[in-house]
Amino acid sequence: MKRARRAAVWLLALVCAVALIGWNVGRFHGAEARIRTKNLDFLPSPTVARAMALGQASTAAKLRWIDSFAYFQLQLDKRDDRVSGSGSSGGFQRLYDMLIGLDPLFEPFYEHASLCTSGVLEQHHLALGYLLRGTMEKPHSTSLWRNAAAMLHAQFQYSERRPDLFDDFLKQWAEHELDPDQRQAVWIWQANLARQKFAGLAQLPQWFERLRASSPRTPMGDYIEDVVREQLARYGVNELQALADATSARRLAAPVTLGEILDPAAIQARYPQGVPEFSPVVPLPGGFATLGDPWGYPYALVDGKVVSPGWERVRYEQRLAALNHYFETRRSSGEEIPERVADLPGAGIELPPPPLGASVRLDDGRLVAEWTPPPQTPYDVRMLAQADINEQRAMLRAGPRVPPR
Amino acid sequence: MIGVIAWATCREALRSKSFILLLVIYAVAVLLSRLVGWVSSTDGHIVTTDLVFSLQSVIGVLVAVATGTALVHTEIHERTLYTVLSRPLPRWQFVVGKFVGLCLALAAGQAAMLAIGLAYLAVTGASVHGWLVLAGALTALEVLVMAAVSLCWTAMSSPLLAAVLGLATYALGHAVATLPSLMHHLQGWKADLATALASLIPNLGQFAYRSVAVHREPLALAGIGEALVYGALWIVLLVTITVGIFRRKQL
Repeated sequence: MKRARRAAVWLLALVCAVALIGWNVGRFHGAEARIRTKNLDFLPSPTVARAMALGQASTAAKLRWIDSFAYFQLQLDKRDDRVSGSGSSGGFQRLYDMLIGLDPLFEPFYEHASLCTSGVLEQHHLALGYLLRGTMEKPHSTSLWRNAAAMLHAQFQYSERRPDLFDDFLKQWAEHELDPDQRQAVWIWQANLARQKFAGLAQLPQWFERLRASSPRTPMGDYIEDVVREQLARYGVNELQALADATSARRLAAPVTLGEILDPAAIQARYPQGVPEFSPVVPLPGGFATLGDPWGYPYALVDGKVVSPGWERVRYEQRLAALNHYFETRRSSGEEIPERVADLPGAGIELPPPPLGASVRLDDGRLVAEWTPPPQTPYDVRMLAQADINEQRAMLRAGPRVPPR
Repeated sequence: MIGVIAWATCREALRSKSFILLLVIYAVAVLLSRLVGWVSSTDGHIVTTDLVFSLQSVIGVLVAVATGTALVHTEIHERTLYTVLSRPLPRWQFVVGKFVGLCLALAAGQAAMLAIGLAYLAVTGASVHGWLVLAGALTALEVLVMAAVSLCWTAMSSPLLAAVLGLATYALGHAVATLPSLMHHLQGWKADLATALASLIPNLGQFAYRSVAVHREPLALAGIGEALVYGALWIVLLVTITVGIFRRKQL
């Protein structure tokens, strides 16, 4: 009798356990995904939240963050995160200020704060604020720098409106970037920005600094040397073009040779404080002369436009490289490539005309340009980067003057 | 004699049901922590690591409070204390022996928790590095301070009240870490009073390096030394107070 009663009790317990487990499991079977919504009328300040987290601040932040995904869902429909209480902060701002206060080193908080405030609410200034705050807390985070740069470029048109400040921002990024590939990508961005936006040598000190830190005859070193040469050439072309334009306006006729633009009065008008460093114009006893471009070719005047043959050569070589790559692609798909340059237009391939002093031929299916050798030694930009201002000036002027063409 | 009492206490604590049960709960919670990582919209490893280390702290403190408050009370309840104290044994040696034994057991428990936690993180693919071990060690020190707190409260009150006071001290100990940032809301004597009261509570934020360690942020040697000295000073103070109370206690 006693044993039967005990068995009955156990059986009852077993039945209860099975029923309860079944009940619990049943909630998961056939459960459908549904949109959860949640409002955030109250969130503590970051300091209070930290005090309430009882030493588990970062864990509390993650759990609160996961819980807030429903609020994100709500905002996708509502797009208005105003919450009750004083101050102008919206729900997202309160949420992410608190979360970042609890765990300032968790990168996804900054990325999601940016996504929510910019992507959902289109309050780009808030998003930028979070990303910049992230770069201060995590200065080596490529993702945060990249997002902030993209935000400045896309939403604030900083590269158009304030290229100088945007350039400073990219410089900061490059200085903090630990991944060499990413750093070079930032440098390419800077170099492109300079190509489009800077007439002067605003970036030159930065590139000299990088050149000093790089090793010669390495891909990175060569790349930086090329950028320095290009910036010097662009500056030289711009300066000479300004003098040419001034000559043209004064005479009411375009100059034919560079020698015509080296008028002391025009040069004095352009450089009242004296000829600046890295200018292609150098004073001589009794007049002025032009330096060669950074590749050792003399600057030239073609149809009223100043050109740097060295720079033209670099750009033309880049075009030929792209065309050769195109030839390879066509060849690998079974198409034939003409054997003579003259036949290229007939095959639908447009070859840009070679610059001054160059000829192009097809050698074993590859376009090869032949150049007249530079009359002057190219600038040793690495030496320039090592030298101080006076030494740089002396080095540039020490080489033979190039007779203007 | 301290060694004998310590070893006996350690074995007793390690065999206690509450100790083993909380360790099992820790292991189960660690296994489930990956679920939280999965529902976060990241790869989840940092979230899981955070949870694992929070569990080590919270469950470690629960073990310290549960075991620390029960140890002396059990001796009194089962009357074994009278057998021990009837020998030529100063009471301070009994208290110190008990505390050392408790510390050994808790240290073993913390080491087990850390090993389980790190092994689980390694298996799930999370990054396991030396800073996490240091964070675990500082959490263990926090647990030892809480053991001293529990022992002190036990000497002053009943086990249940001591457990409640122990947990309240844990909450306050972490809250006072943030108090300096809130002091600008108080002026005059209120600020002085708050500072005075906060200074009586162990600042457990000193040991909460785990929040930073999950991000691989290093801790300076000075920071480690500071935490060690701070923890040691609190332990010495609390054990001394416990000895003082226990010597005057009518048993």
